[in-house]
Amino acid sequence: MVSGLENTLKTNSKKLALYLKRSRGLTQEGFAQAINTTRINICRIEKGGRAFTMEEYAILCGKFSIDYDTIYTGRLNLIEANSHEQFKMCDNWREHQYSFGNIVTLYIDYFIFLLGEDEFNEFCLDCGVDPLYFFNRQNPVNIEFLQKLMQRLMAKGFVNSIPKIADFAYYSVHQSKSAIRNKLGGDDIFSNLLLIPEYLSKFELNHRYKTEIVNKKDCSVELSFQPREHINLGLWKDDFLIGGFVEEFVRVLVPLACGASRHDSSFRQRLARPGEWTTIRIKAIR
Amino acid sequence: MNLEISHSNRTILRTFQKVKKCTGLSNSDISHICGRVFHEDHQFLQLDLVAIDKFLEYINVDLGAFILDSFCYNTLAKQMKGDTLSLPEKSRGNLGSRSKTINNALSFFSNEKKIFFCRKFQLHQDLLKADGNRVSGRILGAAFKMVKRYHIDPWILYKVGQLNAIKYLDEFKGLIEKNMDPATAYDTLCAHTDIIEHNMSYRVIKSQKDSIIFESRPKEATRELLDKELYCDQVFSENIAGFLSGFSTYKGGGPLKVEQISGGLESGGVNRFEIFLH
Repeated sequence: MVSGLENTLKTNSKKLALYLKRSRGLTQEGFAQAINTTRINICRIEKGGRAFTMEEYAILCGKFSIDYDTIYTGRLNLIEANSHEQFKMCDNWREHQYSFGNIVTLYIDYFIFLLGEDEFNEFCLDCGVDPLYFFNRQNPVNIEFLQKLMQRLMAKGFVNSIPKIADFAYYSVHQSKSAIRNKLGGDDIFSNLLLIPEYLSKFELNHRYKTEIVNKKDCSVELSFQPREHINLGLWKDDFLIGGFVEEFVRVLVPLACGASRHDSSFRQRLARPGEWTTIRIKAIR
Repeated sequence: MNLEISHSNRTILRTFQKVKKCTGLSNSDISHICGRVFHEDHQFLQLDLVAIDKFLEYINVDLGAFILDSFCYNTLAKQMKGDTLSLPEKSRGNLGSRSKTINNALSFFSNEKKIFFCRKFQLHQDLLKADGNRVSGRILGAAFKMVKRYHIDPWILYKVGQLNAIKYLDEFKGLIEKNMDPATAYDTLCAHTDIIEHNMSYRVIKSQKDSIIFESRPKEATRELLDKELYCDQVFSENIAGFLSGFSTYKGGGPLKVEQISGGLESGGVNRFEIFLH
């Protein structure tokens, strides 16, 4: 009799093999070579006939920088620059990609928790997205996709239990705190603060960010952000789920993730005014 | 196909040999556990993860920790000898949190998830089940994170705290009585919080006619050991709020309403709650 776990390990091996092959444009042969095995073995894994061996998996995790838990969780957390080349199906949902930390991931997990994986796969197919794309939970999608996901939850009667995005913000940053610090590079928190705009612009294309030094001696900087032209401000202003999230995320969480304290929270402008900057003052902790 | 033994394979084989030495298991024992026959050590690498997992479950070690050889062999040896309460150094920490609370938090999940959680920290499930055991606050934080990830509804977390309190009321026998006024009862709770939690200190900061303001603050020693984020965590706060609410059932009535009035990321881990007496 096949146990639940055995099934999980085989299914996740299959998904992992298919995902890595597709996202990197590898053939069965090439993938087999990369993890020191044969094409026949890969073929069996892809058919769900067996899981990776210890040797294959250890090499695979090392070579593709994959977390060892992936085989159990069925969730990959990899920030990939070129996956869009391989996942053309998602292009519609990647324009102005919205991926603050892993908010989308948390929503997807929540969706699956409430409605199950089959329902999520069906939802993806309705949207014209290959569900395999979300095997990597860091793959970005835009805000419209997120909205659609919420709408589906509402349609299924989960209106009251849908958590606000701001509720997820803390967890999102908490989970990627070390990643943020690594990306920003140094122990020098002050320099990290100055690099925030560059960091954010790699992951979130809905806003422009800039920092200005206020007082070098005091290690104070001002971080400002402004919605880009394509943003529908009504979405921020009127949508009870999305509204206020960006503000909250940048205002409180990003500086904290960099190891800074928020020194002054006074806003010069509100976010929902076109063309204006929202500014916060941050002080680094020495 | 490259037949040379790679660096990672050498590490795994070395770990495998160390585990064998530590546990006294032979290849035939391990074959039996895995449900796959193998004779030579290097053949262990060729076993699929389904078989490997059975072995890892037997020795209570996480896959990643096994591959990286980053687990505690002393604990492994003790657990194999039946010492189910043995804890690795990193899971011990300041021994500030009740393992039973972790067990309650994990009761939301399937047994499979529970096993994985225990393997991550090299904990035996029996340790969580038995009352009175303590583990590092980090483990409690990890359990709460898991709860938060799947059960966002704060009401559930509040309920967990409430049930914990009702469960622990027995331990306050002789200290509080049914006819005690709430302010005194909560003061008594503060004076004996070691029964519940070693990581925080608690105090009643204001006692009014209709409500009591209660504060929880991480102790200096634990502040250094644990992430500040644990104390600012919504799950943690909801749990405390629920606990305070459940504690009020010492009077024999239903739980009182408790609201968090301050806390969060900017509070430095200091949470304040208002207990409504009516």
